[in-house]
Amino acid sequence: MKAAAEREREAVVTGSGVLLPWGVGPAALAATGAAGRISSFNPREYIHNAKALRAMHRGFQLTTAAAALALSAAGLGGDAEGLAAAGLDPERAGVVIAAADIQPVTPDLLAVLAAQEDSSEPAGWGEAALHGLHPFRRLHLLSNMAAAHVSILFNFQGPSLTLTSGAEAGAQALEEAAGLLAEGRADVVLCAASDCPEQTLTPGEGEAAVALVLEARGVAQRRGVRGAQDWRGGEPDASWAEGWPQCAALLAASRAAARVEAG
Amino acid sequence: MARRREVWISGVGVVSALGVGVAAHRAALAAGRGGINWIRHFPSSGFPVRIAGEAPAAGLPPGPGRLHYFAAVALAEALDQAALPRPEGGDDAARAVVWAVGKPALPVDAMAGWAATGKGWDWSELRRRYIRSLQEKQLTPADLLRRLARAGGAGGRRVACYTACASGNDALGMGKRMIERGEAEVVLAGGADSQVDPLSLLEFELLAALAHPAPGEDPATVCRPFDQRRSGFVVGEGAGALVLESEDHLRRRGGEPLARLAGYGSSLDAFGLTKCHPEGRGAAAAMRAALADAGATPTAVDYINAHGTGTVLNDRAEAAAIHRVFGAAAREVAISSTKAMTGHLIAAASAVEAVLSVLGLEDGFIPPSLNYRDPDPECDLNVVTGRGRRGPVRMVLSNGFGFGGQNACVVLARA
Repeated sequence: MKAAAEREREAVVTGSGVLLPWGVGPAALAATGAAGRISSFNPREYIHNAKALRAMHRGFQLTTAAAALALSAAGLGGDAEGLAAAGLDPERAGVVIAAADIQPVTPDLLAVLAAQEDSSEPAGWGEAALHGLHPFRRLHLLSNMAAAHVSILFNFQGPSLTLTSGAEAGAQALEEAAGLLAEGRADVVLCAASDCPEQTLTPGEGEAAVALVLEARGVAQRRGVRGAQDWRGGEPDASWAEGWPQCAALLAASRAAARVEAG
Repeated sequence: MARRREVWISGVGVVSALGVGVAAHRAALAAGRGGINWIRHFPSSGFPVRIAGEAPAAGLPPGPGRLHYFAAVALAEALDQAALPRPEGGDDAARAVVWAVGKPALPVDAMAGWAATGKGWDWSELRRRYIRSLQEKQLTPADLLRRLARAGGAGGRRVACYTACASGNDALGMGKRMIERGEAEVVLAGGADSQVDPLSLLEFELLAALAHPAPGEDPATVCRPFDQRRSGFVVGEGAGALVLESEDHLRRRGGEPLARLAGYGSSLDAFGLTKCHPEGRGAAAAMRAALADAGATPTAVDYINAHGTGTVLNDRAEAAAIHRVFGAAAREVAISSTKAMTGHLIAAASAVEAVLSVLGLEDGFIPPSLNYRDPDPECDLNVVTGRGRRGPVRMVLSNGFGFGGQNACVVLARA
């Protein structure tokens, strides 16, 4: 029998947010459709800070949008005041992200290189690149920037991890998030992932983003959350989630929490 | 409540601008000899960034292969020192790998070659070739994990993390927590990175983060953490590896501990993407969390291995954070930044600094902060200079703070 204290620290899902090519929100979890781009995605609907938006790679925009949806679903608002308004301590609010490596082959770089007579040696293109590359290029490329954006927009100041393990990263992110709660290092953890291949998509490849708000059971109860759900037992459904390596495990957890059957 | 399992360090390995291996690092630290120099591994004449902390890389060109090489070399040394027996009957499920893996470098010269022989500077074509080359050469983070696991007979979880310049400490922290939770007996932990390729160097230059030598100036003197004359960091490369082991496991097999990984704490600034919180809010929270995790008070700390990049704002914020956490003791506790010698290894920085901290605990030695001459009143700290300082070192706090407001700290204690 589990000690009461241990049960208090168990992770429960208090909100989730999903963006899939055929829809947004809980209804999309129950539906199916063709993989591809989330063509209806308008980041401005979710991210109201124009400056932040400009510094965001599309994958970060998708992750952040999923986070905004999940936080709203959890009753934690969609802005920097949400945590405090719900009585949660920002310093005990963590962020765990599963991320794929981001493509450094970007149009601004290629434009610089194509304009040079000789780009085989650094001296041939270095100076031009200083003027031609996006000054925040690096911030578009670092895997941990999804966590950074979420942290800044929603005032999460607690522990943070970004996992880049490949296909295992999503499942590991959930375990780490639950671990942070169980160990008492955080009271609430936003766990999120996105898949965002940038070029012409190969068949079966597509975009997706998903976020879960995990809270320690005791914390969720004390702030009066109803309907908090267990997230375990959601086996990634291979046929349904194929083409979304980063999101598969989190989508399965969202479905388990929402008690959705695979479509 | 059951006593928490203790996490020991039974082997370390390191590669950086100071050389290959622990012995080379001990010698360089004791001599106060830095490794930052003119860039040699690509033709840097006429390139906007001329200096770096290059590590010996067996002639490998700039590109994604270097960090994989450094990781393998550092882990081999750590495994050798730990003298872990080869597991019987296949890989051991109780051994895990947790590694901080740097952003793969894009070899622009190779891409120029692809453009010349393919469809020119076509985005989707070059992107496809780049991805294919990483996959064919097995240079993704998952590939690295697989190779490191094979080297150490690890059949347990394989985790890669990236939290910018805090990555190494986060890898150590995750490994520590895995052992505490009973998910692993041994964790091969560490970090590897190589951002001394031309494109990555330019990306840092675009963020105005780098220090450059004045005409006639020795590159080794350019990185000056906490000094009033500091003007930025210098990029380094390499890897640090640590074999983490549960106390029980180490005792049962009769292994020798080098040090204890006593505490870990992580936090987010929630402030800016490149600028850290000016009063070091997140940095202070991570230090406090690491100390609390170690069950230690600030007065127990003998040495702080600073994040200390040498940028104006970072060092000031770190000093402010140390004052927040240590109070009056902030002026007493010995501090140095080994980045003045190694350069800033980005994702591998705190893994290498953890190894150097272990050496300090073993040897009773606090390494010097090179190039520190003019104290900055806004960094009112007890910076160790010259040839370092000999004396008992029982506990070290090692800081790692990164872009995006990522903060992670570890506390290491004498075995």
